[in-house]
Amino acid sequence: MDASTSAVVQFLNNNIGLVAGIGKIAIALVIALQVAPIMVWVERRQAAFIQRRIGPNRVGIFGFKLFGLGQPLADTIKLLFKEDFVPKHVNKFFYILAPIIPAVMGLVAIQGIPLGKEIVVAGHTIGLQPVNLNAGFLFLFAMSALGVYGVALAGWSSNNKYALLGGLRASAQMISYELAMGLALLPMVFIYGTLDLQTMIAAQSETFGILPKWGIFLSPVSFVIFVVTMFAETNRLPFDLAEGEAELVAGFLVEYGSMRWSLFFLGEYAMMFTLSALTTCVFLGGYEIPWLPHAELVALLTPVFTAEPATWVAALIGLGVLIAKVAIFMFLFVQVRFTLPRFRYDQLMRVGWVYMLPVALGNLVLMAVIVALLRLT
Amino acid sequence: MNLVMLSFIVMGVAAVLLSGVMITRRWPVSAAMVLISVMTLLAGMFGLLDAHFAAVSQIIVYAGAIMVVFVFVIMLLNLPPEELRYGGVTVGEMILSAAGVAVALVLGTKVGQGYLSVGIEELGILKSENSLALHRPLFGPDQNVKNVAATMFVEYLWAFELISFLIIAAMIGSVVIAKKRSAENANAA
Repeated sequence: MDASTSAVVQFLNNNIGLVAGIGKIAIALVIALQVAPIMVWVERRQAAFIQRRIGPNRVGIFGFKLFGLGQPLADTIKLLFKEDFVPKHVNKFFYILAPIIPAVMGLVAIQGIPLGKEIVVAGHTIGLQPVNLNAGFLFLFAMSALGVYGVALAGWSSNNKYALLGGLRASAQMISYELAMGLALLPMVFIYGTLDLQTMIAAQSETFGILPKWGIFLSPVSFVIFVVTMFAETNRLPFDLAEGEAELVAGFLVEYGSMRWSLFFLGEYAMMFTLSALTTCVFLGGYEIPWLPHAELVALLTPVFTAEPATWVAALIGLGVLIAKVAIFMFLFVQVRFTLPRFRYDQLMRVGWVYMLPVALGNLVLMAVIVALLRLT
Repeated sequence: MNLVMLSFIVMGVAAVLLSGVMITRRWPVSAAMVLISVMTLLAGMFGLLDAHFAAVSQIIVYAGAIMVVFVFVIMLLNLPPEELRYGGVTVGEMILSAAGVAVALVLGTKVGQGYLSVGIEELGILKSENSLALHRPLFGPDQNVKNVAATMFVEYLWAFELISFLIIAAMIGSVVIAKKRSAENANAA
């Protein structure tokens, strides 16, 4: 080992926290950026199947079909070669800023997701949650709340009535559903007694009877409300009133084209992934294999590999499990999009304020009473 | 200079500058957007002080909820750019500004005193019982949420509930006042 190598090793040893932090953030960014192309493929393909269209589900290059994998490639090439056009009548600064906000917020929010328990590298234990504030998952809420400004600003800066209406709808919808979303998660905070996602996941590795002690079994009402509000928060059908092709031509997107337009989708897909991962962590045991807590998995792997690489393999398996669970939700998003019709605007507001909010409040009170009674005994 | 200090200086300077930018914007939407960035910067500074819960609630409550309503109203009314006034400053405005500066100075030095006296106390110079620095959180600095909950729901429960009662009264009052006016307008029309 020459002098320069040992200097690098020493630097890594001294700054393990910093290096590991940058590494974790980079991994989460890579995952978030891969969501959009993969989801474009899944969505186009599934849409073609449901609508019985020949095309995006089998498009290929040079006769190789590859499950329609040519479609995202063709889409990307088309978007990149389109003219980057800024209409004359827009407020230029905000018009350019607007698509950046949802994309950035989607990429930042994913940093709050625990990608695994921890790995041990050269004696240092590294937790696998890129950003672990002691306000827990509220960080995700904060970032997803800021994402709506992208839509609102796009609507306003486009200087177009349809776009403005889309932006207005998005902001009203977000305020209406964010309340129910928060109230749906509060019972889980009572049950686990923490806001920290790692502690929540550890608590869910226990079992009662044959069922794993997942949040979905502890408070099913919370789960249903959370999933419904998740659709509303990400502006997906049946809640995509901000776009509403039928009445608003494309809402806030109407003046956007080429890569600016696709930045909105990058943000939307990243936020879908993040919220699905949050659901997974709170209700479905996160990165853990059901009935097999992380510690037992590491114990199983240790004889095969040695002590430290066992934690690395366990982390990889955990990441795979997390992504598999998230994939179920992502597929649900796609399936719902082509199954349910869009709400009317008054229906949207009625669902939010008259059904979601009171049910979430009632569930909150009920769970609070149950948890308090269980604590007493 | 470490990373925390550097971030604090960058964010602090940006927050002060952007506050200035905010009050000079002509478009209400621009002003609202700059205000949101100032709030985000403030949240960042809370985060540097390890007050993660304060940082996150600053963003959720102010930037994520209240400002969304502001922006919604601005966009709904489609407010035109504010006309700049060149009429000069009136005496009343000057007196009000001076009073504002005085209040800011008093509050700033009171809070600053408490904050600064940590260092002074260690030197044995000052031992003020009212110093904010002596008011330690119950559960240690890594238990943000517990500290807030203990203060809000145990120590100051009655004050907290009374304030929420007052806010509800104010809310109902504003709805009643707004309703009355629109009913009169409807009659007049």
